[in-house]
Amino acid sequence: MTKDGSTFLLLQQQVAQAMELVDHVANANHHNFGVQVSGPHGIGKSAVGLLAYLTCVARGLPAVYIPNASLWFEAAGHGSGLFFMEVCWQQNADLIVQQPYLRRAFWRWLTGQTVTENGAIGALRLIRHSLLHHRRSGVCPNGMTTGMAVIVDEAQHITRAIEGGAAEWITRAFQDFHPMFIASDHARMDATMVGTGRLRLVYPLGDADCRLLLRARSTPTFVREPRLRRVVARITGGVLGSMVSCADFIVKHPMLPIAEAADKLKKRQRGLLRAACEAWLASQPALDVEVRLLSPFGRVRLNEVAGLYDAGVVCCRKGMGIHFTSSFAASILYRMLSDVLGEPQLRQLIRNDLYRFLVRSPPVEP
Amino acid sequence: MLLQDENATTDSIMEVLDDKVKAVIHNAQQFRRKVQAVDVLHHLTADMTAEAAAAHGVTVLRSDGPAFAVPVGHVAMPKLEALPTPKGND
Repeated sequence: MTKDGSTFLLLQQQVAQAMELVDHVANANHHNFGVQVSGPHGIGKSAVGLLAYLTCVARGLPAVYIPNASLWFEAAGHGSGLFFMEVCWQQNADLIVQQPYLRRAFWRWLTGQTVTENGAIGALRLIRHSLLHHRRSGVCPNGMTTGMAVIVDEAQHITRAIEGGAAEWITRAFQDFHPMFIASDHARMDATMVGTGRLRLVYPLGDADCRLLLRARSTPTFVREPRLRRVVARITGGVLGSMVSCADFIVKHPMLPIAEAADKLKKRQRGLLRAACEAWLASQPALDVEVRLLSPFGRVRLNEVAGLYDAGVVCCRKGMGIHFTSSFAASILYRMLSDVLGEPQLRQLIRNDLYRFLVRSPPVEP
Repeated sequence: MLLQDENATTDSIMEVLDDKVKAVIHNAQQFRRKVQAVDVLHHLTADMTAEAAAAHGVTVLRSDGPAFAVPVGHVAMPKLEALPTPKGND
């Protein structure tokens, strides 16, 4: 992640996921490769895409980076194919002029001609044929790669724009590229891709990393006061964006007494999580809530708790399925559920889930 | 046509392009040079060790503890001068 444009926080998880894509682009003869990056808001998904893009740029590998898919679909009136090819041209013009197969596709841009949607679609088709041909023949012209990364952030706009067939559309449109789609509104898209093995989950920071980042002065998550560190760790559950937001709040309010700062941090976080819980509960028929939550959370499917997942009330934990992000988040949801469920059911729910959660994921104590 | 010639050199092609097109190519080159100045991006690998990261000017913070017997626990902070932000450049 970047802060003030001068710091990039490299986390092992993000580096590994970014390099998976970069390595496939660099290996010209490899089969096409595409992933959907998933995780709650602020967990570091965009960092994966940005890091993959910057590494491709640094290594001279063709890459198209669309930071917000909504731009793409706002441009649909002028031709979504044209938007894609324009971005590709702006970001890769220096590579295009060097590479024969790209020069052939972009001849209209290189000769300064006006390009129409039809021209762009034709050019896109040429690139796809070329990628496919070179991949099959194993011939790599000029010693350069014939792979191309397509990294699209905020990809939920694609899902919304093409109801019911996003995954199929994406697979078809970019089958010869190496796409990475990053979405903050996951459920529908993720559910269709789970079976393909191409879903890459971004997990919250582990306890040790969380402790380290809160203590280290050079990080954007640094919190000077040990008592506030404990509070931040407990209420954020290792979601990096929330940690940075808390650290920023503390820096901006240096005169607040510690106890008051702690209260304000909890209140802020509670407000965010509570809003997500309310919206989710409002969208669920009461009976469904009982049936769904009375089974252990590990059996809950992602699309059943989409709102909670996006807001960071629940997350996926390695080897544990869907779980609460923190005991703080769990307490908020359970308190709200106490109004919906009867006491015996709530007790059973707590036995099933909260107890299990607390045993497996003890609160962080930095 | 020169653009279709697989053996055409970049210099020969640049000679026939108009200034507007050259400006786009120049911008792309400039951006790439800025990113290439970030040395660690050339050397990143999925299993980069803390020591390797440190060798590329990265400040390495290492978390210790039994949960991190496998090398997933180190966090690296490179100091990057004026990291380009493509979100604002396209």
